[in-house]
Amino acid sequence: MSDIALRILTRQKVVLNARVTSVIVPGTEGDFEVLGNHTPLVTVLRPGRIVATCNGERKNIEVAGGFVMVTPDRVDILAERADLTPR
Amino acid sequence: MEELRDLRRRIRSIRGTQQITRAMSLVASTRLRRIERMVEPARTYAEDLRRVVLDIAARTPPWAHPLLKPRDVATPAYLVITSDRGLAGGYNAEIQRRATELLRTPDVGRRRAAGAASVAAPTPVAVAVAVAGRKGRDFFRRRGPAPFREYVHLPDSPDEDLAAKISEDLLAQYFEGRIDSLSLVFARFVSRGAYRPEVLQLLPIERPPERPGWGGGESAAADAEGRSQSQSQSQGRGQERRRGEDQGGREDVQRRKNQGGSATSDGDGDGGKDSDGDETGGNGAHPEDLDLPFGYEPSPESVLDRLFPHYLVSVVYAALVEAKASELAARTIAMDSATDNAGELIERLTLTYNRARQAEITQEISEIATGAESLR
Repeated sequence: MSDIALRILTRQKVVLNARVTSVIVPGTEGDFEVLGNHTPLVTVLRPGRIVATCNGERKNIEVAGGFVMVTPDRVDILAERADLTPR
Repeated sequence: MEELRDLRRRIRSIRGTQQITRAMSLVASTRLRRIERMVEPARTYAEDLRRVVLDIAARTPPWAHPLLKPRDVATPAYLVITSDRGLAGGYNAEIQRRATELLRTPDVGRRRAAGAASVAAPTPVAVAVAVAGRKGRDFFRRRGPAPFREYVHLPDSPDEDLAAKISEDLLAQYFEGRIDSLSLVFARFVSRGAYRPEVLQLLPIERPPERPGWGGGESAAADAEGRSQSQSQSQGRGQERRRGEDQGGREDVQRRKNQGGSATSDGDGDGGKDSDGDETGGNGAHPEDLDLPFGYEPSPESVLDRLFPHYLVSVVYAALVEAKASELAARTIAMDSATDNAGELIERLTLTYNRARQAEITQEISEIATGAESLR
């Protein structure tokens, strides 16, 4: 399966910039999972947790709202605040 | 004797000044190092949002959302970002000059604000100015138009709270109809040696006339290669700026002042580079492009509702960061050259001083010699 370039940004820093196989995003209309070749989509985030999977490893990122832009091979998340949750 | 004491005093005083300018340059350059790192993320963030906003604008009918509605711009407003403190070379003067030019020819703002067709009715235009920074406030209070909003005592390092406050305030003014358009005038940070005054229109949202607003073709490709330096903002302007950079190089960019406003005709000038409008969904030039129409969930209007305030804060924040970096760069340069000048002055005065001292000694000796001679 094709992987996607995931970028999570805040105004201050790049929180995550990695290639992932899947990412689960908390949208206002409900959580949704993005895999490769998703239809282009822009939607609003609600505060919650992003779960990104790369190489079978899961990363959790807490966000406090923002926006997600999905294209077939990239996901850009412009978050209000975001932090990688340490495990 | 008199002269000698005078010279000594002057040298001492210049040396004192030099110590101060040297310290200021060091402080500015240290702070610049910190702010410099904030520029790139803030810029990227704001530009990504801008792309989405312009995309929505391009594919949504103007009546669908109040922010998209073209207005007959009777009162264009400019937020002019200057600094609180001086001693930054020509920094504030340059921004103010750029702003003053715009105020004199506000029809530029009007035409652009109205979007495609240039608006005929030349209603008398009352220009409104909002300023950030004490220097700009003092300037516009003195020479008018008196600012309708003033944001002073800016924090040392720009923060989101301030950006939020400013943008909420101005957005409210817009909705209340006290202003009919809004543009930022600020210094874009180019490098430690250069910045350039820039004008960026925010309200109403620009609607490129013949071409949808997704100018991301090229810049998206650049993104993929890890964010190239050249940033495209709105399509037309971005392209134009890039062209300018190619010609002029970066060194003397400060001097170029026709960027932004008057020189900008939106939407043209990029036809050659990425030829496909995104209504076709085609992406011939860059197959790897993301030049596809987005779907908006739940709907373009509702996304815009949430997106726009967020976008405005981001743009204002980015502009504050760029302005701060430019200010510090300007101050570093100004204080460096002041330190150098002081050095030269000290050298010259020391030379004069030594010569005068020599002359005095010679004179004294010759007096003594004459005295001794006469005793014989």
